[in-house]
Amino acid sequence: MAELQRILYVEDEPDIQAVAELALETVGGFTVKICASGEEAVRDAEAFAPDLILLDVMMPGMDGPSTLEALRGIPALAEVPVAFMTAKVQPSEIEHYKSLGARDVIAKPFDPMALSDQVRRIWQGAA
Amino acid sequence: MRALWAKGLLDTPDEERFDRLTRLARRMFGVSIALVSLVDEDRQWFKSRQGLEAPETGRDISFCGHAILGDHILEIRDARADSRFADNPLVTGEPQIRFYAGAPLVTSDGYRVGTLCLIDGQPRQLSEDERRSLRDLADAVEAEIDSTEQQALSDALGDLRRLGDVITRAQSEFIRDTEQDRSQAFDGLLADILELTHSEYGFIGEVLYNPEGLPYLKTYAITNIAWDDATQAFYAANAPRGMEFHNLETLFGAALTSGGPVIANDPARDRRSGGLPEGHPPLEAFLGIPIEHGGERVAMLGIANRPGGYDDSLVEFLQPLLVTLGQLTDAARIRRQHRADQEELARLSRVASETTNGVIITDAEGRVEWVNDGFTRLSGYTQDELRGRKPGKLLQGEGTDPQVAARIGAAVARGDPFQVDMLNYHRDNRAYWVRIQGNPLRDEHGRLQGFMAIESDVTREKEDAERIRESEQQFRSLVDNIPGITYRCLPDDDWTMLYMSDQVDPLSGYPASEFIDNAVRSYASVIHGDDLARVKGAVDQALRAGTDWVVEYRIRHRDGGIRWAQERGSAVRDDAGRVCYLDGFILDVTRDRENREQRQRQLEAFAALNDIASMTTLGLGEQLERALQLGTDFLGLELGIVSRIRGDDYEVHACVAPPGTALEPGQHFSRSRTYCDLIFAKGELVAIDHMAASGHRGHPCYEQFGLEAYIGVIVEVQGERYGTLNFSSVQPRPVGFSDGERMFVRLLARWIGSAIERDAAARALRLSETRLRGLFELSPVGIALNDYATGAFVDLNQALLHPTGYTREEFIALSYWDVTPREYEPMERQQLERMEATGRYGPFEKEYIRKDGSRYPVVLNGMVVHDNTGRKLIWSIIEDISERKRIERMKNEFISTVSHELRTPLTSISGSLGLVTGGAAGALPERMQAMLEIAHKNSKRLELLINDLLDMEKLVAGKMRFERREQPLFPLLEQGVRDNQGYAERYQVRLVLDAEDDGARVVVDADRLQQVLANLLSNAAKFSPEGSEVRLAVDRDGERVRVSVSDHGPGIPEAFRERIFQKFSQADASDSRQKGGSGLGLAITRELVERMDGEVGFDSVPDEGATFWFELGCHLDEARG
Repeated sequence: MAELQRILYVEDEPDIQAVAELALETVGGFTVKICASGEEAVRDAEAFAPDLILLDVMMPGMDGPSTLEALRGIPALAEVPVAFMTAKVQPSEIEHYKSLGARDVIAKPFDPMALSDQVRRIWQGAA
Repeated sequence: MRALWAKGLLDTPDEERFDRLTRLARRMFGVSIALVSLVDEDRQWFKSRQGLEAPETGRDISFCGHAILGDHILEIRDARADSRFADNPLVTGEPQIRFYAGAPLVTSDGYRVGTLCLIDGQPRQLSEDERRSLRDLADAVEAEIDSTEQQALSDALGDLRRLGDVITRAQSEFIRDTEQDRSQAFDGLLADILELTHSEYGFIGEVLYNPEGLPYLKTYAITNIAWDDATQAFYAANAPRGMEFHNLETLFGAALTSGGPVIANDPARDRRSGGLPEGHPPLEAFLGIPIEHGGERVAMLGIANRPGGYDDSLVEFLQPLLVTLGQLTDAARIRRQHRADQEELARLSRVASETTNGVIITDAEGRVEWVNDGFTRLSGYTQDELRGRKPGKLLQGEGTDPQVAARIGAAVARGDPFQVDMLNYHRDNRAYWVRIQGNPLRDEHGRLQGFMAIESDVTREKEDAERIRESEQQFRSLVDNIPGITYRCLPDDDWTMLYMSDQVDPLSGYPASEFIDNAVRSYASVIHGDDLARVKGAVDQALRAGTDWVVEYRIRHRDGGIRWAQERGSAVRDDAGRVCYLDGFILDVTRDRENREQRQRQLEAFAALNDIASMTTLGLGEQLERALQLGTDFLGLELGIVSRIRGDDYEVHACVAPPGTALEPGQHFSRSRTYCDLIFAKGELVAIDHMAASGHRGHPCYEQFGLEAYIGVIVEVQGERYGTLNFSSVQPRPVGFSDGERMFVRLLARWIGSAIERDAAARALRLSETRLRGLFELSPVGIALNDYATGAFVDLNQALLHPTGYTREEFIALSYWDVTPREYEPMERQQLERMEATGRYGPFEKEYIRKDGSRYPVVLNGMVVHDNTGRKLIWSIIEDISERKRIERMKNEFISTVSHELRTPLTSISGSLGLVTGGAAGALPERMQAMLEIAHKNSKRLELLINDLLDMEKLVAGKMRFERREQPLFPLLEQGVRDNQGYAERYQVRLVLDAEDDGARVVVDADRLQQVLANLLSNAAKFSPEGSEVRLAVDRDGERVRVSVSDHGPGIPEAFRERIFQKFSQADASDSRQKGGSGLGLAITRELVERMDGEVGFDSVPDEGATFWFELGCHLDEARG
């Protein structure tokens, strides 16, 4: 089983982008590509060929679930595990996201120091 | 000759002055004949003659004709020897003239008019002396002639003068004529004429024409020649008005018809004379002159008994007078015609104005010339519409009797008056009866000029007459058909009949002969025993009182049945007042009585039905049963059933039957096996008196149950066949079902139908009531019904009662204000007004006071309703919202608490990050610096969010303090733009204050207004595209100022507009977050503006931007204003 290397992170909020990028690259040592919107992710994801995709839920334009659906439509990405990142983490909400095809849900606010391990665990669960 | 005539000598009587001279001449000359001969054109006339009888001879044989041709005496010594006269008959025959000497007579003006001549039977010669003497005598005759001439001239002049006077007087009399002295004028004229012509009596009359066109005479003036009392009376009565003479077989008649003057100097022998009545003064000469004027014969002058008779010369002499008379007569008749016209006009206008009748005038052909208003009222046609048309064409119609119309036509054609009643048609086609009195209008010659008809509306009269005729007919036929018995009897106990009419037979079954003289039985014996005493009592009482009696009693008929008789009678008394007989009239009123009784029974039965219907405690089954019981009693049939029929199934719904009959409600039969099958087949009432004798004896029902009498009818419920009502009996009916009984059954069926209907409706109502009651009772929301007028509780449910702590009885006894805190009074009044205006109120929130004095919040709404009595009521829904309020309060408290608790750690975080990023702890690596700035910025955002929450909570809880004071608006706006420009720049948006200071002043808390501006401006900036502008504008309208913030952002989605000012609202609460924010900004803005007595709103077109605004009260800066 291959190592988790390439992570596509879709997030519209620049501050969070910065924090998450730092956490994943510096702490986790992953290769991270940040997309500022769902549309951008759908456009660039295949070329980036991520091992894992992290999706913010609430975004202007395409929100997380619709981005997921669009990404699933790309054959090369059909099997790539996806995790949502959201502040709405009531159990019922988590169930809902999983039913949409998400591997897991990462609660916001996340712990930057623990984020990489969390992501790796999700990926391993998927593998 | 003219000279002779003019001198008045010819044909005049003898005159002594001439005779004296001729006598002298005869004696002087001793001749047999001396003459004064006047020679005319064709004769010689002897003014004076001696010795000769003949008054005249022809000129051709006259000697004088020769004599006057010369200036000297013509002397013929012997006529036989003179060739001129030898063969003259006067010479050859008598008087055997031989000698003739004629001295010509010459008038003073030189005319030779005749001779003075001497004649003798012997030849002779005059001596010179004799010739001179003859000439002297002739001169004497000439002198006499001249004197005659002078006299005649003077007479003629006198006559002419008198004629002139007469004419002048007549004209002047006429000119100043008034009605009463017109006759005087003509009287005077007549008197003058009589005097002028030396006549004895006469008349002046107008020539008129009767309808046949024959002339007759109407006198203007006539001499009174009355010869006895009768003629005197006749004269006195008629002369002033004019006497009329129609008989043309008279002398004046001849004058009237011939057209020329009639001179009759020997009337008695004149064949034109009609003779004179006995006693008439003698008529010796008559002159009648018709007088013409304008080519028409207008008048006549008649005069009589001029001495010497009348002649043409007099006629000629009178000519000027006749002309005048003609003029006067004509003037008189014109005047009369004028007066008559005026009178006619006056009469017409009087008729027209005073009468409600219609007046119509037609020309001779019957075409309308004039109608009055009354006619227009009557007929509907105006004069203009009628003029020139024949009224019959317009007014007569299909109902008009053609014979009557023909009668009018014939009368009009003949010019006869007529009177008819006829049906005319008003312009609007309404028929009406008119009485038309038509009269011909004639001119003075009696010629038909037209018709005048008076029309009166006799519609009412006709209708009345028709009604009277009808009622008379009815009465007559009634009388004819009364099956009455007339009688005369003795006043004894048996009422011994002396006479009785045969109609007693059908009443009693016995012929009259058996009653008369009590031959077989007395009349008293057939009167029902129970009634006899009463009848005798009634008769006795009437006899004592001297009145008639009317009494009803029963007769025992021979057939064993009962008949009802009504008797009217009276006593016949002798002179002493003793009763001799009883006379009367007996009517068979059996049918009447039976009908009356049946009606009575029917009425009673229906009254009983009403009673049943009004017994509300009775169930339907019991009601039907009682109704059936009534029916069986009424009809005398023991079995009564109300059936329910569905298809072939016959179910007994209700029934009455004699004890022991196996019949009860709920039993089922096959319809085809019941008589009701017949009803269904026929669709109407079926009544069979005796089944065995009817065509239905083969019916299965008869075979099964043996019912002989049956009556049944369909019962309908809500217009549908429900079943039947039927009554039956095992006994046949002795008499058939009467109409009354049939009607009773029909009505009973209808009653039963409606009873079933009522019951079904009542059930449905009860069901629906039960359901509603359940809903009402079980409703978790309070429901109350109050009287509109008093506010008293009529009904309320448990849900309302429960939170109050009162029992139902306690609560109902309370007044509204016992549970409503006084401070809600204004709000209550407001809601009450709304209810009065719209019939509804609420929803609104208030508090109720519990029994223990504590309060709880409720929300109310309701509506006005009317109950079935029309009483006004209010339905109210009262919801206890204590729980909602409590949760709201909890939430607010929670937010407040949490926010405060959050602020404490946040203050530390924010503070310390601020210090570190500000370099207070020394320089940091670049990446760390970036991270810390992110942290610091977001902690600040968090602070803002928490502040929003707290503000909202304070506002809602009413804890926010406002320090409002009046201040200029413009500087506040400038400050708002300045303060928020930095924020906007982050979105690369520019804020523009697009307004000028007009001095508007507002009463606000400056900080809160800044907060409002910050919210609106930052929102606008946040949603604006990069590089665009946000405009802050001000519009003032009198005492309101509107501040608006416009952006060019995406606008407000339609779906979001309603809740844009609600708390925690964002346009898109789904996963697609648009922009950051608490969602409280606009809610807070609204709260703040409203707390400063303003209002907020927005206008937006999606994709084109939004304009948010707030309005505040303002006034202008005094100094600037």
